[in-house]
Amino acid sequence: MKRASLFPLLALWATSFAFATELKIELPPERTDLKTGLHSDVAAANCVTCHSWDYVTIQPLFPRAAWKATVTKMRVTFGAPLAENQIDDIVDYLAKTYGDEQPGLREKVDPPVAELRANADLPPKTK
Amino acid sequence: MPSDPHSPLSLNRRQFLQQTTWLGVGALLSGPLVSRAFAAGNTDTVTLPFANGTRPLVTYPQKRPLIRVTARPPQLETPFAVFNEGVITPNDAFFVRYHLANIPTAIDGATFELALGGNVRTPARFSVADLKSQFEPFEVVAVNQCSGNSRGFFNPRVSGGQLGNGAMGNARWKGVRLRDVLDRVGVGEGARQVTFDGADQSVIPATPDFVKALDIDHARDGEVMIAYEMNGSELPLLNGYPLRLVVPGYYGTYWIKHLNVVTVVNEPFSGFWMAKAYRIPDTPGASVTPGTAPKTTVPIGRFNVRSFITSHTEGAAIQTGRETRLRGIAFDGGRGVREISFSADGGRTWREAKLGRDQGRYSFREWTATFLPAHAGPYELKCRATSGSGETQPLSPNWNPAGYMRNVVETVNVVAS
Repeated sequence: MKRASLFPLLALWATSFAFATELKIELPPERTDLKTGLHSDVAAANCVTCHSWDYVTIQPLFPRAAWKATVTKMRVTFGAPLAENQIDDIVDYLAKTYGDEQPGLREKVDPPVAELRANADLPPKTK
Repeated sequence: MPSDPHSPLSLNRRQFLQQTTWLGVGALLSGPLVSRAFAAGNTDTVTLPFANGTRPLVTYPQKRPLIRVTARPPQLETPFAVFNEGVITPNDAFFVRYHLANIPTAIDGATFELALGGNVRTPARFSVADLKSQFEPFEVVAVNQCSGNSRGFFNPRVSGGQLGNGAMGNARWKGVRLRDVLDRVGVGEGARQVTFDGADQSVIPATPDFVKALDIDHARDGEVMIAYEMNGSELPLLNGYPLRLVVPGYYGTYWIKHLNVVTVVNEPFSGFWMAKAYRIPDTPGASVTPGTAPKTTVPIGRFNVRSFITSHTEGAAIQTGRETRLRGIAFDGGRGVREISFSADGGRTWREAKLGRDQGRYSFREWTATFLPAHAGPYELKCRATSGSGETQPLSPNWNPAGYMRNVVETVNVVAS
């Protein structure tokens, strides 16, 4: 490499000083894999406008009333443009697909909300 | 192997290094031409100890792999092992919590401006360079903790970000006192509060913008600050680059990121995020009967006192007949930690732990203790902190519908063999 060829590089470096402070990031992709079910299309068309689907999937096995409160809050508090029947549809989907109305739940997954004490209050016992 | 510094090979290598150094410097300092872009990727999962607690560990820009609570907007929790590395939480491990998904992903720190207005004599705009050059620097080591840290442990469970204990961190913040900046623009007669807004925005206009308020006296207490550095470096973008409000001793909800608008107002601010959200029961311990709604609420404020064991994880194996050294952290809302007690028998007997170096009353305080497991079997380790005001941690957990301010005495079960 010849010494003279450093010049353009130096010039480029010097001019870039004025813009030396931009910080730019690229966010990792999110997961959008909604479980299929009745009215999953309504959830897919509305819920993920303002937030990723993991806002739903991290929740414990809430009963229908809890999902109703949350979805209603999305409309009343956060301004989601949801019609009353859309709220009902989304709540029905969430309760049956992610909540405590999932078929066969008690046999195969986490304990229902009322029985969470052992997990929620104390770390699991070793013995 | 002997090498000849004058050989063609050595020369080429030296020139190559010279060239790459220049390229490296250029890449570090250049702006839009070669922006400081940080990419990210996926890795593994962790399981927090409550129902539905499995989370991906994801590497975000300027971050090590963190526990992803949600992707959009990003909510990232610090893996608990980080808190055993030292009382300062590294920037790349510091938790992230946004409310609204329209977050800035490119910010030019040279053109970014903070505007001060409302009831002030001289509305003004300050660049980061203005703040650095025109005001006295101020530093504090302070814990930032999410109001809902540990929400996933609430029983009955409550909706919201289902967090373990990692939505907290302790950093050395450097910046300027908010009081100094307010004095520069001149707070007008009758000022009641100061509101704070950042560059993050909602996705749809109908969603209330994330704006928080502090009483004027609090805003002018000489401790609330506008930080431009965190642990000696500029703030990571996801922690509020280039400016964030630091409210020592107060929950993270007030620590507005990408702070760009400060407004002095003459009435208590009635925006959603003050008047409806981030409110706690007006009861001792911010607690109500589980499953019930509070009668009256107030805005969340200072941290209650907390402590954690960081040296041992749930189910850890220890050696019978050999002295076991325990280590942990404690903090409170600003009175400082006065005492840490430690129990190896589930709270039947307590002994005083040794406090580590004092980094200020807003910082994590390290503690250490030793005990001798005389016999094989399970040991239930607990720690309990008492603050300078005599406040201590409850033995049974508080409960409120938003899942705020958990500070029950923590337990780690270990087994000696």
